[in-house]
Amino acid sequence: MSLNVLVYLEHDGRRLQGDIARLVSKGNEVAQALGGFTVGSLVGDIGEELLAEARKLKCKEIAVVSDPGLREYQPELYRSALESILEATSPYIVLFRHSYVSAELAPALAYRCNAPIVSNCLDVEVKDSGIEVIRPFLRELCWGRVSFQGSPPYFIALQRFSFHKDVPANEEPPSIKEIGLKRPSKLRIRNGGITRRSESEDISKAEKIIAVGRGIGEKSNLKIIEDLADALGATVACSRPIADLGWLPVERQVGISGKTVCPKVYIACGISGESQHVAGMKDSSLIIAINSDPKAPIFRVAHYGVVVDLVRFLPVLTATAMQAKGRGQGTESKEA
Amino acid sequence: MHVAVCCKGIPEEAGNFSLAPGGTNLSHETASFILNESDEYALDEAIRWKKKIGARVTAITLGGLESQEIVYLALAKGVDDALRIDSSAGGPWEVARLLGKAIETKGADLALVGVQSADHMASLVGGLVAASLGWPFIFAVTSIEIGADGLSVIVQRELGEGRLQRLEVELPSVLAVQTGICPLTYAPPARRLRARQKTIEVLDPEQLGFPEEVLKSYRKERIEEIMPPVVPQSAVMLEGSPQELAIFIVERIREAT
Repeated sequence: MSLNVLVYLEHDGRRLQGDIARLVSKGNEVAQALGGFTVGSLVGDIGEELLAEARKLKCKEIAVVSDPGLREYQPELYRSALESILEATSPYIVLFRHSYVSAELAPALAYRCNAPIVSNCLDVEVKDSGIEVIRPFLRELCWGRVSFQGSPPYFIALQRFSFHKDVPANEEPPSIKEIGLKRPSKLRIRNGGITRRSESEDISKAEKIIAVGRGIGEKSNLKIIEDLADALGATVACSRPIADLGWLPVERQVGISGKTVCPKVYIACGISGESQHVAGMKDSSLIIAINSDPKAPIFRVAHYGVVVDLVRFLPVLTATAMQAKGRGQGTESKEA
Repeated sequence: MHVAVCCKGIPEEAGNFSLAPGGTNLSHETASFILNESDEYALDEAIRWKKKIGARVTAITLGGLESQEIVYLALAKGVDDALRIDSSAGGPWEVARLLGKAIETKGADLALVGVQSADHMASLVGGLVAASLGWPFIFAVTSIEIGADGLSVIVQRELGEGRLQRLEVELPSVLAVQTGICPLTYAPPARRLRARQKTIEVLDPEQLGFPEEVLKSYRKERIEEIMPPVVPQSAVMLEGSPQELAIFIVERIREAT
């Protein structure tokens, strides 16, 4: 067993996904505290472009399993490749980003290693007593400090990565360690292909977004949201429950399972702000959260927060926006 | 086909809770437990298969007496039978070992779970159940069809960021179904009352082959402390009349664009 940190470099076949550079930095911080180094793990049909992107990461080494059979994600083959990497690198900690793919692969790997696994983590710390993570519980109303009991490797999936100190990283490009793919004798899953959702309107290009969540109550109240969007010249988006209910099409959904957006203005109406949603909008320039629950986690990412009854307040906001627009147009016409 | 659905009871309101002894779980003083939302989608999807092809459906929950409500709800929604594993286990390994054994004992060839519980928020149990059984596991499934031979399922699943994948998966397997996979059904009070008259099978961990000392060896993590969230950046909370608030917000939007 080494004292190294293995970081899974998730990608979509073309580009590394998520904030991998920061995940690697977190890996470096943890590895330094342990007295080891960071190893990236890259699985797929790895082309020049992807490899070049990975080489820019501040890992000491990258373990690569590249095979034409891995061109598209296939759970059994990717798992087998990661098992080979685990055997070849024997890490102390394995870091994943908290994602659909890690939710599928990481438990199987942890089970095989008879190892602890903690997911959805906000932070990892190396203490004298051992490794600890911070993660949310109870719809993110509280956080828990969780320690590992069994023996390593410790599997950790991080949903966002915070830093305590800047670790001077290895400036040399990482060395590449190629590992062959061991094909399982029998595959029980057949890949029928990966597609992208068709999109009628791309919300990720919108400058202003009014996003609606379950707090809107009734479907008929969506009219209030549409009126506000019209008044502000904004695009309507939503959180997962609204798309699940079929009230708005799924291409309007913001979050891990929907779109990542970064508009100049994001107004979250009746959205509680669980991490799956926040991951898709947290980088918006101005975030205004309107919610009736003062404890809603959305207020932790918003710049401004208002605790009000949406159905009463939004029409007032719409009227005010209309008046402002009217004044604006008045000035423009005068200038013209 | 025999479908087992794992249904977790979670506290309706996160009111008074504390750390259970040994840091194995959270314990809640609130009396009222409800079915975890993403598990309800799994339950309704299983019942859809019962109606469509006559699949047999078993609901399995894990928890104390407070989780009995979940079993009654599952029966009222139309499952054939229901099992409660009488345990306060909270860690993903422990829970997965118990559920896996129960699924195996029941003879199910498809197990459905939700993508996440609202209390532990880990999305780990389904994957660990599948690993413990040696079955394939697919996460975030948005549609299920039964294969022509009846020995496999054809699923569509999410890969994140708008990407979808179609997979054919041999049975037996475990699928973590995404919320929204099917419309949720409503169980009328009369059916829920009738369900309460049915006898519920209750097994303790020992009956499933996991005496306390064995189960303890699967406790691989420990909750040391529960704390309020440390807020990295807190919103400026606005106060005033609706008109004042609206004027302020419209002004900020104008500045930002």
